[in-house]
Amino acid sequence: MTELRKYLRNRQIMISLIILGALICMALFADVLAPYDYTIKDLSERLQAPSLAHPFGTDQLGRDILSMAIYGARASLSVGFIVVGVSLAIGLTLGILAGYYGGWLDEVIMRLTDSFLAFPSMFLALAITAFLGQGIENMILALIIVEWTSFARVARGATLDIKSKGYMHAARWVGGSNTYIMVKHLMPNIVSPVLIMATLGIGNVILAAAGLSFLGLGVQPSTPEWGAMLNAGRTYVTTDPYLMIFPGLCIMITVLAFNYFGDGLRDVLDQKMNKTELEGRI
Amino acid sequence: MSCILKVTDVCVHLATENGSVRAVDNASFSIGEHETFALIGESGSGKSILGLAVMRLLPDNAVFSGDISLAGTSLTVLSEKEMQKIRGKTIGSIFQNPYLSMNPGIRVGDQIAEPMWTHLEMTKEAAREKAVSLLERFSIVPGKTRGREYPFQYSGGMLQRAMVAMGTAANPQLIIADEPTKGVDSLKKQEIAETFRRVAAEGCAFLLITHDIDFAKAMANRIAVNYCGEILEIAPTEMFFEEPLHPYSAALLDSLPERGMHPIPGPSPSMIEVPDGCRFHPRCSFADNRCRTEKPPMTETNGRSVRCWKYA
Repeated sequence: MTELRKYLRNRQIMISLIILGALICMALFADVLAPYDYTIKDLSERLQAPSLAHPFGTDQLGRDILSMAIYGARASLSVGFIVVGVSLAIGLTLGILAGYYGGWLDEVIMRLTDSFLAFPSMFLALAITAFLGQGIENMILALIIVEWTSFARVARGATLDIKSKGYMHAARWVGGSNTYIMVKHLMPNIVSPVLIMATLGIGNVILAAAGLSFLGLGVQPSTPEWGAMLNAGRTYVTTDPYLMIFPGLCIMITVLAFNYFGDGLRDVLDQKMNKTELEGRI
Repeated sequence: MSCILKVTDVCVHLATENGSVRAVDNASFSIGEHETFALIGESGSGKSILGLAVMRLLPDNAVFSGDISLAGTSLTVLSEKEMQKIRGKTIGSIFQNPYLSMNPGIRVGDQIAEPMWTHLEMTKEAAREKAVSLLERFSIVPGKTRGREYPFQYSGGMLQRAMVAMGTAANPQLIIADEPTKGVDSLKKQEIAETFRRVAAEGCAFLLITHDIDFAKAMANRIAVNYCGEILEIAPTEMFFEEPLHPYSAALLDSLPERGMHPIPGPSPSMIEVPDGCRFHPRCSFADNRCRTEKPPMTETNGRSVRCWKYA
C-alpha cells in the first residue's frame, strides 16, 4: 500500500490518472453516457451552436458532437493501446535479444531499427497507409511499424546497462539458462524506462492516429473519431468553429494526460533523465 | 584422498587488439574432497579466469586448451545444457559483492530457492521452505519474514550470509569463491571465514580465489601461488607459511605488514609479452642465465611442488 501511495502522492500522476480514468470510462460506457445516438442525422438540427440540448453543438449532418466525441474516445484509446501494446511486445523482445546476445544479432536488429528511424515517423506512417490503403486496421499496422523501433532502442540500452550487473553474472554461475535469465532477471529490471516510454508513446500514437484520420487515411468518416471530426469540420471553421474546437480539445487533453502520466511515472521511478533526454536515446 | 576437481595443463589465452593475453598458462592442480584450496596472487594474475574456465563461462575471445574434470568426468566436452546442470548444482559459487550479486527486484528467499527449484526438481513451495531453514541456519531470523524481504532491507553481513546460503542451496560438492573478502573489513572477514567453515564442515570442497593472504591462511588446507598467469608453487598451508620455496612466494610473504612490508622490486610484467624463461626472473634476486632463457619445470619435493630452477 505504501508503494501505491508513493505514486498517488505525485500530483502529476494524480491529476492525469483522474483524467485518464474519465476518458477510459467514457470509452467503455459510451452507450450509456452519450446523450444521443451519433448515427441519427437530423438535418433540421444541423450546425447548431452549443446549447443545453447539445452542449457541444451539432455538425453539418445534425449529429450531436458531444455524443460523437464520447464515442471518439473509443477509437483513439483503442488505437493508442493496441499500437503501443504490440509495438512494446515486438520492441521489447528484439531489444532484449539484441542487447543480451550482442554480436551479429545486435548488429542486424539495430541496423534495422536505424533504417526505420532514418525517416520522420509521421512521413513513414503516411507512406505506409497510402500504400496499404485507407482504414483503421491499416493505420494501426502503419503506426506499429513506425513505433516499435523506439521500444527496441530503449530496451536494448537498458539491457546493456543491466547485463553488466553482478546478479546477471551470478545467475549464470548458479546455472540459469539464457531464456530464464532474460525473463526472470533482466525483464523486471528494465521495466521502468520501458513503462515510461510506453505511456508517453500512447500519447504520441493517439496524436499520430488523429493526424492520419484528419488526412483521411485512418478511420472511415462514418465512425466517430476525433481526427476525422476535425477534418469534417474544416469547411465550417470560419462560421462554426466549435465543430473543430471540441474534438481538438479532446485530443489535446488526452495526449497531455498521457504525457503528464509518463512524466509523473518517471519522477516516481527516479529515472534520472527528462523527456527530451529519453527521446534522445531513441 | 580422491579428488573432486582435477585441472590438467590448462591454458587460457585472451585475444585482444594488443595481442594475446596469456591469462593462464599450464595450470595443473587438483582439489581433494573436503579440501579447501586457495589460489592466491596479485590482481590481474589470471586467478579469476581460472575460475571462469572451470565454470565454462570464459568470454568469447578466450582460447582454451587442457582439461578440467569434475569427479572423474571431463567438463570440457559437455554441452552448454549439461553445463547448466552442473553450475549451481555440483559446483556452487560465492561472489564478491553481495549488494551487486543479488537481484534487487527479487525477494531474498526466492533467490535462495532459485537454484533448488531449477536443479533439484523441487516444487516452489518446498524450495521456499528449504530456503527459510537455510536462512535460519545462517542466523538470519525469523527466516520466514526475512525471506520475504528484498536485498536492500538486509545489512551487508546478512546479505553475505544469504549469498552463501544461495551458493550452497543445492548441496554442491565444490564451491568456487572468487574474492569473497574484497572490500570487506576485518571483522566482517572473520564472519565470512566462520560461515565458510560451517559449509566446509559439511564436507564441501572449496576453490578459494583471493589476493587476501591472511584469509587464505585462515581457511585453506593447501595454497597455490599464481604469478603472471602461471602457478609457481603449490604447498600445504602450514609448510607454505613456514618455509616458502619459490623466491616469489618468499617475497610475497615479506611484503606483508607483519613481516616488515618489504615490497617486491620492479613492476609486474606484461601479460602479453611475458618474460622468457622463468616469469619471475626480472624481479628475482637469485636469477641467473638459465632463469632468463629456460622455463623451469614444476618440480615435486616432499608433498609440494614448485616451479623454480633452484629446486629442479
